[in-house]
Amino acid sequence: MITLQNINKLYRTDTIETTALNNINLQVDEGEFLSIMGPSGCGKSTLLNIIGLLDEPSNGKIEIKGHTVSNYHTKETAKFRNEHLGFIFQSFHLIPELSVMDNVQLPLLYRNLSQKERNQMASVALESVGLNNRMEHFPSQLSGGQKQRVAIARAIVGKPSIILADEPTGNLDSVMGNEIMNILLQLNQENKTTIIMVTHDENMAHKTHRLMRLYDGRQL
Amino acid sequence: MFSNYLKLALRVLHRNKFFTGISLFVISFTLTILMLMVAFLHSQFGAKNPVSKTDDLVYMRHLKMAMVQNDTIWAKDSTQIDGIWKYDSTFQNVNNNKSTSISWYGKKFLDSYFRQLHSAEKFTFIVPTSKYNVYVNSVKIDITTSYVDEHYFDIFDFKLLEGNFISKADIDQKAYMAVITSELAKKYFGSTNGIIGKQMLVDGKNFFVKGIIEKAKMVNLAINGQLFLPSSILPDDVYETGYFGNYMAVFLAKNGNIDAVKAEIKDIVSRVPFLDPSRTNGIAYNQIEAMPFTFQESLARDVIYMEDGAESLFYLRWIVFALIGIFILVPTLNLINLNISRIMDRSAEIGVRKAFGADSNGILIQFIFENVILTFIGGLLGMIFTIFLIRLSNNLNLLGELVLEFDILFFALSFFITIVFGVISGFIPASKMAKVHIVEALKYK
Repeated sequence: MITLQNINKLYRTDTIETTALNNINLQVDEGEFLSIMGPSGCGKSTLLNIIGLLDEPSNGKIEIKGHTVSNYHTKETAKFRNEHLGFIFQSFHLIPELSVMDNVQLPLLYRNLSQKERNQMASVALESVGLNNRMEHFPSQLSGGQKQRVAIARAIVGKPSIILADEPTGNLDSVMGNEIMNILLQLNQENKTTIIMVTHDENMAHKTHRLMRLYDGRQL
Repeated sequence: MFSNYLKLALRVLHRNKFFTGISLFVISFTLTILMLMVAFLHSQFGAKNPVSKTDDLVYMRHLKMAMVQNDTIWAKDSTQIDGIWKYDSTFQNVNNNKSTSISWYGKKFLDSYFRQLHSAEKFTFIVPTSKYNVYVNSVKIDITTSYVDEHYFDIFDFKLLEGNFISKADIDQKAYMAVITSELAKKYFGSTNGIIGKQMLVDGKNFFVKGIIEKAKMVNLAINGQLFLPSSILPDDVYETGYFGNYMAVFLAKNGNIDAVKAEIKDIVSRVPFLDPSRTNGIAYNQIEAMPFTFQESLARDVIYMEDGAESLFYLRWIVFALIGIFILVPTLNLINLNISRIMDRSAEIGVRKAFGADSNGILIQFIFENVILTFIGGLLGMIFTIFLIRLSNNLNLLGELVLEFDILFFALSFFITIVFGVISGFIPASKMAKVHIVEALKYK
């Protein structure tokens, strides 16, 4: 499903060169739930951004669903992300001026769909996270857990085969964190969605199929 | 997608009330100034009754006569060559302008030389803006009077509300007939109804009202009278000194060829004999210059006085363009600045949109669209302010005879300015932010 070969990421300034990722090789199978752990600054988020085509590696090859996406141009990358990838962020990143319904529809705006189709798909996504009674609410009217559920609905509304979650429970208390984790596990089990999750939480990580540890940009 | 953008734009504006307030003030104030300038230019310089043939008219308002004398200036120089003093001298002929007079034209001068212009289709000789005071029921009324000939109302197409214009017969018979504006009719008679044939006492003489016209709504000496009387009732030599007098002439060019009229006028004047100094207070004028200007040059000269009307118009145009440029540029720069900080605040949104499939063009279009909505609202407010100020100016006569108008062309131009303003002030910050890297954009919270 996802193959990373010899991925390196270097950040250069005039005087310093920092290695964020050092020769990462990774294979993620379809339907797998992988968690990535490691101390702060070890390159977890950088790796997730590279897998999610939000960032480019300094060198190496990325293949997703048989496509060598590391060669894609900006527009092709944007289209690929829209069709195949869903993102969940630690700080939710909901648009405060838009209602829950409009926030969830955001990925569908970049597809050729009618308003009716968008409404239907967003309703289904919100129902699957148990928020169909909050469609007209605004993010400021929701709790942290509810906001993250909206973010999950936004990530899955376009039916992507891969979800990338960057510390999805990091801003939540343990009860809400467990709720979110259960939704992700359910998505993985029922829809066979491939999920890659960055986390600091050992308990959450142990609920996934596989754990990958990073230290100073290297795989352990 | 655009309904989503519109929804978002309106909510963003609602949320950032301070920013929205400042932006709307800047946009509406700027557009109000611009629209007032456009309304002013359109109302003052545009072709409409009674000057619907603006491009075909040549005005001859002033005659310039000068006495020019040549002086010779000698200069001596000395130097030593081989120990012996040598002397040299040079001279230079210079024109010392001793005396210049500029005034209106005399009637006889115009009659003698300017009744047969080949390049002009029609002409009229006018004595503009004589002021008389009359008293009606012990209330003083100031009346601006123009003495005109039979061609005047052919060249200046005033809207006739009732009665008739001054005719050739009125001129020939030196009839005491008057054409008055409806405004004066209301002041003098209290009404415009049933006053044709009634008498008016002006300057100790009784005049019969022959016609009622709508007053000119622009500032221009040739058309700003309220009372129009036949010029033939004036004595032939009234106020005339030599070629000077108190007439002006307006010519309607054949086929719109105003350059031909100007050239013919200059040619005629070049052949006019110089007057004997006994007729000009002892001054031996040896240069005569007619000063023919187009309608627009004539107006421009009233604002920026220069010898050459074309030069006045040239400078006036540049000043107007520069003012318009400044009025667009300064607020646009401010708006760009405001927009940069506003869009920076929404970095995370840009990051999310890009993560979910938006490309840079999509982001660019979204933010320009939002800015166009903002400027559109500002434009509407600006239009409301403009309409209010135009009505205020017209009701209180703040610009004298000039009546500002609000028409379709004016609306279209204002909308165009609004949209350009929105696109320009939104494009630079939007294109800057659209290029921001997703990971960087997502770091903002």
